[in-house]
Amino acid sequence: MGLHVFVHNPYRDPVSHPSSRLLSSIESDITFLNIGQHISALSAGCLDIPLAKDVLLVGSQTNILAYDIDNNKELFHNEVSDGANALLVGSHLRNKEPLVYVGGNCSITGFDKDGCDRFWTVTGDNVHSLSILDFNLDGHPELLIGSEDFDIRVYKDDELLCEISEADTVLSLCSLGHNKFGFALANGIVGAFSGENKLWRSKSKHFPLMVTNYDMNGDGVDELVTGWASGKVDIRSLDTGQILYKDVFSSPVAGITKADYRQDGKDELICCSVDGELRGYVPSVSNEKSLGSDSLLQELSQRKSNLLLELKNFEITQHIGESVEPDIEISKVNTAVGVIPVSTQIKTDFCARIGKEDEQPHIALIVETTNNIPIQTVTVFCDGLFDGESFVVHPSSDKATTKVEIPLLPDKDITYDLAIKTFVGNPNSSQFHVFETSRRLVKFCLYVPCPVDTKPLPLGNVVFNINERLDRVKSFIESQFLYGLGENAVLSPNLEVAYMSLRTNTPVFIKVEPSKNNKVTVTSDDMDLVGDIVQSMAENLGIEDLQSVAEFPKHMCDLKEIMNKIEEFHQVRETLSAEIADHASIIRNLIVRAEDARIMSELKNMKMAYMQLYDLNREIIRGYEIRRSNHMELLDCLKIVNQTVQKATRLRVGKPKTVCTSSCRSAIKDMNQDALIKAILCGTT
Amino acid sequence: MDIELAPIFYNQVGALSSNCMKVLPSTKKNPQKIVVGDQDGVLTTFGMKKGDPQIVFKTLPGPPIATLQLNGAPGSVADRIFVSAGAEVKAFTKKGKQFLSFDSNLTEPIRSMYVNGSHLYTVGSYVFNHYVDCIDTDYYLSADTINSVICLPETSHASSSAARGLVPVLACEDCALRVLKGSELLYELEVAGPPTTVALSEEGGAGRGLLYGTSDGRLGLVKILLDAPEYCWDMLNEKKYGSIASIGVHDVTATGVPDILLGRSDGVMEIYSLDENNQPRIQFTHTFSESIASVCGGFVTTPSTPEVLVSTYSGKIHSLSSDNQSKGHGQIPPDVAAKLETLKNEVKSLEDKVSSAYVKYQSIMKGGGEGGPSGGVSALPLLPVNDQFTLNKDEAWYTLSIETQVPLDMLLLQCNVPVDIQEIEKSTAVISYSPPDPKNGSYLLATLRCSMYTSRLEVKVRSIEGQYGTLNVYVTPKLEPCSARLLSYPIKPLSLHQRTHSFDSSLPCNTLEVLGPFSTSDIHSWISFCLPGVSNCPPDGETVTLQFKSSFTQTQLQCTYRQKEAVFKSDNISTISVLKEVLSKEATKKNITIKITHSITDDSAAHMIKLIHPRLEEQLMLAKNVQLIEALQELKVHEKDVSFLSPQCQYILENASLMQEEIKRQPAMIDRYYALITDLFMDRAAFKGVNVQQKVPQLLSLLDECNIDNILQFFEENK
Repeated sequence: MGLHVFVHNPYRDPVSHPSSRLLSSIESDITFLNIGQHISALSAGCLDIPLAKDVLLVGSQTNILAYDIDNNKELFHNEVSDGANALLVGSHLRNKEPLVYVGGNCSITGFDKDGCDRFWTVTGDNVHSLSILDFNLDGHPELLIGSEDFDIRVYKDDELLCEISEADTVLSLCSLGHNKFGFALANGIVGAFSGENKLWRSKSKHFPLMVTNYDMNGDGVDELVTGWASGKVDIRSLDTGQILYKDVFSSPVAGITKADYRQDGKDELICCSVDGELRGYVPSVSNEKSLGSDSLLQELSQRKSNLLLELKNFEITQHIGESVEPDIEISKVNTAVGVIPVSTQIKTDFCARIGKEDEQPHIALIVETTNNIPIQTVTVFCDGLFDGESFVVHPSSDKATTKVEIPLLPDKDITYDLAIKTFVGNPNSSQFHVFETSRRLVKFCLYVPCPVDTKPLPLGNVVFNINERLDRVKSFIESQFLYGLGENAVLSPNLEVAYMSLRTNTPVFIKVEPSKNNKVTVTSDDMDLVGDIVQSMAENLGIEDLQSVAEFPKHMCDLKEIMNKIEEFHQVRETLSAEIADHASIIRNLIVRAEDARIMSELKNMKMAYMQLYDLNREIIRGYEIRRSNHMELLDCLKIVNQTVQKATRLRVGKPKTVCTSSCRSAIKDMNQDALIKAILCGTT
Repeated sequence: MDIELAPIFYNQVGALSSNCMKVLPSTKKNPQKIVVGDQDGVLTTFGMKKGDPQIVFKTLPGPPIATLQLNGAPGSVADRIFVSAGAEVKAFTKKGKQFLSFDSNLTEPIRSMYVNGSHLYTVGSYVFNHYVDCIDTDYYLSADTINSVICLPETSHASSSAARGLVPVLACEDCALRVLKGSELLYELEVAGPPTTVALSEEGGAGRGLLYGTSDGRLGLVKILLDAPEYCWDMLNEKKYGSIASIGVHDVTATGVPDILLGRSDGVMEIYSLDENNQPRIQFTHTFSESIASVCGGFVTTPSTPEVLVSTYSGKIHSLSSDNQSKGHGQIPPDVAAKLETLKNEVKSLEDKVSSAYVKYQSIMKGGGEGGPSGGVSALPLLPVNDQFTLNKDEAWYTLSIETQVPLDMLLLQCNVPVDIQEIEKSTAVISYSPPDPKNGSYLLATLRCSMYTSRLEVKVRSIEGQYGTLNVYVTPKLEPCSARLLSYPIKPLSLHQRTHSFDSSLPCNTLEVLGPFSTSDIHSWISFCLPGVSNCPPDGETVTLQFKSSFTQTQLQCTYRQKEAVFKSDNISTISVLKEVLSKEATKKNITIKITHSITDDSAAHMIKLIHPRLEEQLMLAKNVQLIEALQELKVHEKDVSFLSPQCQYILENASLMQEEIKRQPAMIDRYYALITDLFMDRAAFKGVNVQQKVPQLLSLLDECNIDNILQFFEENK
């Protein structure tokens, strides 16, 4: 794109602003840094504790630059092949050495002050947010990673401590002190966790861009500050999520940071909008509680009247209920009020639908009334399961029905909590009873039992041993699969079950052999699924360390191909770089010639030189296009490699998992295909 | 002069209809009292003492009070309270003693009334009655729904005409004010929108000025003279606020000239004062979270400081006054703290009661299940919903607003024809669409989940003319036992038309003639099915003429019909086409054979294009300019001095935010115009029996260029 992006220093990052000067002379304070590349992340922090000086860190799709603003000096400039989507300065390692964490495509790298690579791990998808806090209250901070596959992962050193599945891409994370943290998701949810426990969450129709912490009301506890694409900035209470304060910009919020910008010893909250408007906020000192006596009064009065209404509602309901003859036919009752027999209840069930020609296989949620009272409409609320947050089934008005089916096809194997609202009543009435039901969709709901000898047998498998009784494995399967063990299961001497995936229509087999030291074999060509089963089993049975041996011929074959491709891309890049150098010298030459010709008034020669320049320019643009597409493909390949490594680590738990990650890392560094494959399959080199 | 007013909460009563709160006049220099009648049928009078409501009297619950008026014996202060509930009128003294109960025996509930001395004027949906000492003396049947009634003295000398000779004015839904004399219509005058409420501009009507507020949010002043009206001013609703629910007149600014207080359905309260030229000027705006039911001025706390009293739909009564400013920010005064404490306790005990009622209800529901099928029934009372579905004349949108007394949980919208839903900016509800399900007749399925404490919700609905059906809205409040109220709104075939009272016959005109053995009521019901703003019962007279104007295209339509014959005239071919289709369908439904003949003028297509073209061009230009904004702003940041730019670019830079707002407000406007012209082209061809489907892409590319000559030529070539 050849786009120049300026880092507008004091605006975007007051931390690094040479703030010894007065604010009024801000015009001259602005330092432009010409990065020459699209900036994808920006951060600042102290990497060298003895020096106690902040450095500016700029991440682009290919590089990371550490820059000393005061001395106008580059500290290091590292290539990051996975790109830098998120940057964070801090440390979660035991030696407390500050690192800059770079979150890229499926990987996180930590660089120290010299630009040396000190930490590396992979994660499920592109990293969007990073945070460091003491998650499990053990006195040592942990690293939190929010990624595109909706997960928040907690790393202790190299080890994955915990995974929290959310409903959408985790855009931003921030520590709120202690073990609390706030998050923002792409579907408009912001919320807070205390460790693994959700404190609150609130969904709005707007798109949150970032969250940060700031003690706005001066009570010593941080509040959660959210910047929205709508230009809104709101500050919410940490415990309840209640909005304490808000402000609106005319354009989306570009950044929020806090710094002592005015040099008065107190941190301000500084928000910047996309069109460059900057606002600073200081804590409001006024006592919140006294301010609201009128509104409190009003709120209580409202509550009181609501409660009175509710009570009246109950009374009338009962009154009408008693006045109506029990055996009167429901349809004859005055339709202005919604009348149904008290025996009416809602039954919900899940059922697999194998699918017909024009229909994909799916799980159907069946909602029906226990008597012949028709269902008017059913709404299911569930985050992440549908395009929006809800799904409505409204049967045609002329076909009254007592049974409604809602097709469900989850994208991922995680548990979903469904909130079902069923409107029940006579189709002619204008008032309906609403039945609220909640159901949980188990993790592996899309897998229906099939005979254990289903062919063809998948080639991929993973084998490991567990120290658990067979019954516990059985109960694990019963609880996590929609259909439990199923009737086709072989229960003794070995436990053998087989399932068919409705999503991919491929089988998966689980086999436990008590005779062979409780050997478990999970057979499927879907490495993700196997990983999910291993992780879920380990969590369910409380297994802390689990080593396994895997076999995924197809994946490994693809991986080899991709590794070869990567090597090719690297070569192409080198050639192209050489070309650039050539071009540069020719350009210099031509310009000199053209200028000479101009001075000598030899217009013909000048024209010729410029013509050549023009051609060259086009060639360079073409070359750039090639380089760009080359780079994009390279990124895609690297992403696949990282994802494969991530899948491989998911086949292990605890220590072996960490070992697997580091083995893979070193193999990738050396571009050693065989070592990588061995690390993936055996968990170690 | 701007005034600073701060709101303070006074009292909470039951849900309120509009204009059911008044301020009682006080005899001596005492603070005034507030009288309010709610939908539980309770009439409450209270005064304020040290910030605490002091109840003077409170009646027992009864049927919902729809209107409330004050009246006095001739020559004395108007301190008698008249309320109407259903068809019944009751009157109370200021002490709460009932001295009159009068059943009008009308079939329609009283929607509005006016009392003066022994004269009582009531209006139902279509009928106007005048009673003198409870004896029916005058009667008038209106052509369209009557929203409000008010009376002006017959002569300008207010004092001499206290008891006799009042001129009633009816505010009717078809954008007309009808001035009556006895049982006869004196004259009618057209106003800017459907008037919802009217008020006298001065007490006693001395200046003969009449203020009216419309459902599309406009305010106007007319002078009702004996033989003809005199239009004074009409204010546009530029900020797109909601419809006007109540108008009050009170001198809040203390200038000696009464100010106009406006309460709107979207919670906006405004104060206007009149300047030297008698033009309104905005003085103050405050937004409440609920729709306003009534607004009036008075002296309730102290006899010296004027206050604006505002009551909301859910029954909250607020006061806005300049005195309230200092309050509320300091420490909680002990008496308030005590009040809070009692309230808290009340809430607590109520919560317990509710939870025990819930348990009881649950056990009944469960018990029934065990006790067999004949274990009784559960019946829910009808949820009261304050709803509106009005056409926004300027933007050709429908605005759907839903309000309940209790906080809303969610809305479910379902429609059997394609309509677009757009949220309004300030709404916080989360909207989520489900895939359309045409097999089950659902082209729109959407849920709107409300955030905490939302009891009012507004969405914009955009319909397409020619596609008609029903929009169903299920309203679920946060209330146990959980229920959903279904509200249905018809989407009419010519949904974007509005009644007017003029027809320009000089414009090119397409005609549709319908002949057949149908009665006047048949054809009237078909027309009422097609067009909004048409009453259910056919108006008097042998031949009826109704005029409409499209709020989107600005084209006109005239319907003239009588028994066995109907003629429709419009300058828009598409309108005629839609009518033809719907009428033949409706006639077939009733088994009436009708003969439809049409005459299409080619000029009308050109006229339409000329009408639309400037607006389309403007929209395209706007879209183009908005695309440039970002680049230009970037330039501005780097160059500081932008004087080198072309005047047009500078203009864009200067008006950037305006343009962006404009385009945000009217998304897909260009597509709508495109569809309009393509429809016009296709409909014209259909009338001529030609298939032009394959030429549409060519037309679309011409539209992209937006050269009017080329488009006209294209229409000319493809006659």
